Amino acid sequence: MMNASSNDDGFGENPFRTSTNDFYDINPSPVVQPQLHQSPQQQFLQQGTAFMQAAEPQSSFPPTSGLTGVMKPQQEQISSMEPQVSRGCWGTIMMLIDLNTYKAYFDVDAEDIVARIRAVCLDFYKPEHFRNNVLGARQTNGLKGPDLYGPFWVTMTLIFLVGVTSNMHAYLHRSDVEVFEYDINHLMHAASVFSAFSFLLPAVFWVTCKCMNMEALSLVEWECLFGYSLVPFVPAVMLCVIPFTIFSWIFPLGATIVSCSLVVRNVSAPMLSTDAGRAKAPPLILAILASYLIFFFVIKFTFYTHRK
Amino acid sequence: MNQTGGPQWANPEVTRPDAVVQEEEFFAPLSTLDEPVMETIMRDVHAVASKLKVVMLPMERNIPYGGYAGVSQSENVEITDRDKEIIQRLKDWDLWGPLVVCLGLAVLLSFKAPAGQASLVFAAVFCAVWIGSAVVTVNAQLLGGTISFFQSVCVLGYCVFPMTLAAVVVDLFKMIPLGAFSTLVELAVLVVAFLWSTRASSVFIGQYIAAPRRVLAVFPVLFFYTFLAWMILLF
Repeated sequence: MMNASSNDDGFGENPFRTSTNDFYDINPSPVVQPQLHQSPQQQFLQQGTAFMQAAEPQSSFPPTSGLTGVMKPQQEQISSMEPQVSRGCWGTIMMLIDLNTYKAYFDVDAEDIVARIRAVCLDFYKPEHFRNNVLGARQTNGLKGPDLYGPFWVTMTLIFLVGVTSNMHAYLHRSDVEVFEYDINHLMHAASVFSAFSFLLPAVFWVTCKCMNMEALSLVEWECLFGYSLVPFVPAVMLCVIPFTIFSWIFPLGATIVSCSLVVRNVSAPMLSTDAGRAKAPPLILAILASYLIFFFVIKFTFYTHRK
Repeated sequence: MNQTGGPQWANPEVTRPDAVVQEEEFFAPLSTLDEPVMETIMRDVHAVASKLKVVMLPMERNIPYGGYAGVSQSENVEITDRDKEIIQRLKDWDLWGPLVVCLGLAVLLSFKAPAGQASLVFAAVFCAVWIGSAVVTVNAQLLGGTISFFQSVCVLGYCVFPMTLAAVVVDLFKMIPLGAFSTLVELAVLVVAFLWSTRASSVFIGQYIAAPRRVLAVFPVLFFYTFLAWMILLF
């Protein structure tokens, strides 16, 4: 891999380069902008092609882990399960501990992260846009696939910011400032709430999808979508410091709407694309909406409500 | 000592004229049986102190990015002699220094914390330093850096030292009644400490990562020290 890197990729003989895919060298092709006003038929066709693309066998890029099993026809699913089974329980545990397993999901550059964050903020309402044109289900078309760098550090940044701003909010809403004591518990609460929301919840949805027998998205895609959907909360929680109560309602609500629509827009189409999914998906999508609503109220009443 | 720092037998090219000298040099650090205990302890203390001194070296002026070469996107980063010295010294890693620095900071902050939260603050600072530096290192490794785990943890730990000093200075300033002005002074001290801390560590992390993703590896470093600076500002 290291020897194969020629000089044309701009790296030269860089010994630090240990990226695990060869798609690094492909020049990113211009992002396909979906039409804004589509007829339902066009939309259906687009979803159909997206499904067909996703259903191609993974010959171009063998996944380094079993987490990448994206939706496939049923027969292929069974045949591709066999090597995973033969790895055994111990092998799976070792694979989860091994850092190399995760390297494929950290194979992004600074400009990719910037493009993804920008897409979350600007194109959240476009159906399937973030998943197909920004992430890329697979490392094709110059897209690098779902990453875990963004979700992890967005969540960490948010935990820190909530720990800071919720105390500033409490400070600004007090009449007796002299006896104000900083409460580090806000930070601990923020850590548990946000890490549960961005790491645990998508895993729960993924398991639910698996149990209901619809292979809509891979685990990494779930994590990536939920992680990136927290981006709008970063400016929102900073603006919550403004000492008017109405702002601590408006900004988190706006961020919730943006991030909820991002997730629902990107999740619903692949879930509804199969006959089996069309019956089972609506409750799950409602569950996503409900979890976002609960998330909003938790943020509002745990961190940005002052006690008199 | 030769430049590469390894033992003599690791470099077959280096031939000493006197075999006895070579042998003495090779066994010198190992024959510590008959030395006083004080000397043994002091050797480690000196090693830690020299590394702390190297972290506190002043920044060089008139260089691009103000010493933050780790953030630059250009392929060939010119590392100044001072940064080279810092990196060279810190490559010989130990974890005693980071432990002392981290314990100092955690104890100092937990003394100042509100009555019910002292143990929580101690735990938060202690975990933030160790887990934080481990996470930053693993992040750099996952981004494709060929970086040694403990070396990086050592560098990040030693670079907390300016923060510990800042905590002491902020404490001293709190004894002087400055009124509303004191918060500004504290903030200024912490900003200086933050710049001091991030300089060496960001250069160290940055040099192991390919240029297009250097920012991704340095951001967690900045995040790590921002968190510590904020903890100091509070307590």
